Amino acid sequence: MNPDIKEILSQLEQLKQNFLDEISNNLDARNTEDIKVKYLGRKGKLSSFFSLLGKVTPENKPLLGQELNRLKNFLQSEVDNLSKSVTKKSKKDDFFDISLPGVPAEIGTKHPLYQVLDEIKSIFTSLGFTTETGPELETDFYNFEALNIPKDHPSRDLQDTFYITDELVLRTHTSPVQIRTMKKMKPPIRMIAPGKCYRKDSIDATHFPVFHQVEGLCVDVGVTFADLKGIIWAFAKRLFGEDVKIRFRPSFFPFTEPSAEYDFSCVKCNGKGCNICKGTGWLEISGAGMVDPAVFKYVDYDSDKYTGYAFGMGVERIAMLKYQVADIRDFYENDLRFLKQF
Amino acid sequence: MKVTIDWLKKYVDFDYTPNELAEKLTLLGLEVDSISEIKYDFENVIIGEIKSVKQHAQKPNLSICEVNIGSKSLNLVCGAPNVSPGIKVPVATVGARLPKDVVIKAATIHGIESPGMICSEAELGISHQSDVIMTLTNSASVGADLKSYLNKGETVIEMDITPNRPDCLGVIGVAREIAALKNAKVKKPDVDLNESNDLSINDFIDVEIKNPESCPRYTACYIQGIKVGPSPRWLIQKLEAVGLRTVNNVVDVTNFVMMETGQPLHAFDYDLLADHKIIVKHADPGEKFITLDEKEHKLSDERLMICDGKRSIALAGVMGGLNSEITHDTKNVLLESALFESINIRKTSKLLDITTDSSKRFERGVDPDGLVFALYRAALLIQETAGGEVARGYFDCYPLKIEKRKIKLSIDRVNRLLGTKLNIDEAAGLLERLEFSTKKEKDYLLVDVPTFRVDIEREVDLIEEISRLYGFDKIDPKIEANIPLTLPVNMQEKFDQKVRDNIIRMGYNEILTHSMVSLDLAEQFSVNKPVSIKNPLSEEMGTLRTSIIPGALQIIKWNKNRKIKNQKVFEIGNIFYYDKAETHRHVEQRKVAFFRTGQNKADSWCEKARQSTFYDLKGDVISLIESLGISKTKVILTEVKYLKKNQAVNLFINNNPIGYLGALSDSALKIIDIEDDVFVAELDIDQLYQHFSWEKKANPVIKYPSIKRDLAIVLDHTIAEALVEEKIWEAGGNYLQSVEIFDVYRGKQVAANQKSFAFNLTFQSNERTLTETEVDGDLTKILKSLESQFNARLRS
Repeated sequence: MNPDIKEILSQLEQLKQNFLDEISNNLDARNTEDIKVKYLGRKGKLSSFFSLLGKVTPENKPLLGQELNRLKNFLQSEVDNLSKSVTKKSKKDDFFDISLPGVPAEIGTKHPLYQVLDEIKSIFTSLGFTTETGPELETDFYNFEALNIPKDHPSRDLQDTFYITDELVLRTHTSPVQIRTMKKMKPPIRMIAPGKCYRKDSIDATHFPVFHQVEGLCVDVGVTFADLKGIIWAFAKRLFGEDVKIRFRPSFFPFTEPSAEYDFSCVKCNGKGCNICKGTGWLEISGAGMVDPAVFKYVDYDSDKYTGYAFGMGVERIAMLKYQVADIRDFYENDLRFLKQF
Repeated sequence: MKVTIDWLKKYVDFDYTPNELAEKLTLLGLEVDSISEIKYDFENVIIGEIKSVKQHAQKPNLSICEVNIGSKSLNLVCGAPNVSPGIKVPVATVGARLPKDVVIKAATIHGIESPGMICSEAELGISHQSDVIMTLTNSASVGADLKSYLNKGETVIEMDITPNRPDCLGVIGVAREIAALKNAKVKKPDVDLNESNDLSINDFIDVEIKNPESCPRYTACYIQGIKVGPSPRWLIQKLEAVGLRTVNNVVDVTNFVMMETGQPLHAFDYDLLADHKIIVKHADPGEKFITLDEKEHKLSDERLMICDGKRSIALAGVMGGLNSEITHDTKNVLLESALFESINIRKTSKLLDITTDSSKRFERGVDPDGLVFALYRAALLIQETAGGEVARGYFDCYPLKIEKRKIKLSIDRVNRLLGTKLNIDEAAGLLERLEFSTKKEKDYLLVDVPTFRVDIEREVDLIEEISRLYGFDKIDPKIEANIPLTLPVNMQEKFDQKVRDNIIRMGYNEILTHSMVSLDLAEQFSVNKPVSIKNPLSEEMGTLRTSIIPGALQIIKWNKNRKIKNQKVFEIGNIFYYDKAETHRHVEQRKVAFFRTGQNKADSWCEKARQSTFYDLKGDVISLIESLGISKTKVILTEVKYLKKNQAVNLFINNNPIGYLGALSDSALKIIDIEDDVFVAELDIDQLYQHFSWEKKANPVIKYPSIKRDLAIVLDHTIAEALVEEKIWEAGGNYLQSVEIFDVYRGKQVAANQKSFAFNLTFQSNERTLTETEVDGDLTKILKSLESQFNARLRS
């Protein structure tokens, strides 16, 4: 009776597996020669299979031949790779345990939120935006009034505010930096304002009373909503890749008119709908719009001449998407085992 | 704001699926938060008819009802007051399942067996009505499943309405948006009221507005002879679907009309109004008033009140008074539909901490021309549900007429702002669909703003409307080709980055804390007066940090509690305090703080690490400063209340203070509850930046060989190393290149009050190769100088 070809092929597969195990357990390239003899030598494990070539049925012969040659070549090339530039082991060599761990170098880490912030900054820097900063303790004027959020107006409810005095607040957004910059400079202006902001939110998986925002502003002659869409489009692609789509939908902010919320297509499911985007295919990122003429009035810009756009984004939100962090508190817990992953 | 799809369909035709509708509304700016379906959570509840009612022999408040459920009759015990023969009711028979997985079993109630239960709406999970059993209309067929009687589950859409769109706080307003999208018109509901021939409004009420700036318009109508009772099924169902509780037919109608039109209404018990007068005026200072929710409020004089001839009866626009509310005994009703000024209502709501559906709408603005429509609509529905006779006409007190707004719109502006190429007719068409009327004049439009759009005041607001309906998705993104490269770079910010990167290179992990600490911690870790938050989240987060230290120590403790002993962390951030000289002025400073605790490095199999010391941290700080190209640093021993007495120093660059470093004192460690030593430094980044230069100039590397010499001296143990080093440099001559201390010794080999320093000195010339003799000469000079300055001697 002829030997069963299936049986032989499975034995060959087993032989290959044994070989690979042996190779991966081999910590000294100079031992490779021994492995070579064991498998490829004249009395090696493979040679016995070649003798079977004459015993299988004629129709199975080419198949077995092909398999045997393929395996032989594979074993040969693996052995060659390992033993390159190594001379045969001399028995007198002292044993030196190269497998002991190296003494680790101490490498510091940047906080993940700042890594994301740096990436955002570098994208906008390359798009010609400057970086501007301002204080975290802001006056009511810069944080609200000059942004067309008067006292006793329901739009104040959009942001729960920490008050120090009636006139001094912890800034609820970095938008006041827009006002400070426009008061200081004349157009053209292309700036971003990154920084810490505060809102009186109860703490949960997506809310923390402190967060980081990047606010953008561009003011010049002839700036349109189409330019705003262009900048957000470019930013989305730089940050999340070529396939990301953007969507703008109407909203309300006192300091922009028209106002929009902008969304990115879900970075996890590519817009098909998943648990991250709650099945919608879209991820809410933040707000944007054309600078309201009322804001220009506060900084003495001629709104007949200049137009501008502004946009915001939350660094935590983007970091959570980028690193798939489910709980915003992880960023502020500062567990070193978490921080060292970035 | 919640609406149901069925409700919307009463005013506008559409056949979108719930998901399609949600997307369309979202893209119009009415962001849909959720779509949910109301489902009935019960099984096997059938419709029965009460045949007879007997009182329970032992318990007079219980009734025994004979109920026909089609297949048979059951005797059921029921405690509700509204059972009567002939009414149709839902019956949960034995085995029926009610919400929360209640399964009905046969029960014996005070001796009477009851094989089932007559249900209230609350028991069925349909509404909150729990004190009466649910009654069904006559058309309900006995023996049928209750589900077939009830409407099929409604779909509820919850939207997040932005504060500029109070018109969409009514179902008709939302329908208008859908109509605009479909280029259709909304169908307004019926207000064809059957007014009385005999009764006239003027015979019943007189309205006077004393503060028209707070109430520009007040309208009212009168309904006589109503019967207050539970609302009909359709009304309860609508209100409960959008999250309102049912009260009674009159109050429910006012709420329904508010939800429908966006206009809040209020119903007074007419017979409780003294002198049958309404006076609208500001409260008397210090006046006390009890609202419907039975809470007493103390009022300041600007709070707007609705009063009768003698007293206040409602907190205008916010909540009615307990003294005039509709009760089961009410027979005659005065219905109010008014316009109250937004800011006044908002202040009232904030000051008294009451937010109601009514106050929410008034503070955002209601349609001044919509008052009468809402009034008639409510009168009609009250008549329908509670009977009564509506007096002819309505009272309209309108001292401050609000004019329709007219706005000029330039089409050029539209395109200049949006980057579109719309023509004037397209713009006009879009506005018309939103119920604006337009008139074309040369290259601009004259636009009449409908009164319900209180948010449209300027040309730019019209442009937003155009863009909204046109669709943001039709505006193509434009990428500017010329990116300006001449804009200034924020160097200070760039310096921050450099500092951060250099610290990370030294193996530090950056942490980021939230800047808020308890007042106690803020005071313990600073000599400055802390800045506290008026309305903090909690006491632990009640004050802004006066130093990065306490917040970071809490992080260190967190990690220590997780068995991470060796830590090197840093944070860059702002600290806050009140200026010492001008105590009302606050100071905000940018700091970088370093922390080390545990061993100087991780133990490895080939080398055991030692505990970190003051010198490890000092080395890190000086290395950072030197990596920034800054030299001339000096430390001076100082006292800091939370640092160890002999391990606290101020750091100076060119004699300017930059910060401090040291070891935390035992008492400071105790405050945070950390056991191991922690070494800290806090530097002022902006001060550091003053000494930094972006310019760098390369120095050629000296090509002549250097000569190294060791110098070991013995001297008094109280002499500081820095002073010795300074003298070596002074005496060392031109060729001295570096001085490095490599050993400090106290012990048996030197006298008790002595110590030994060993330095490694490098000599080198950039002009020639030095000779050994030259270097020996310099070394002798150094030694002589040290002998005379410090009484030092060469260690043998």
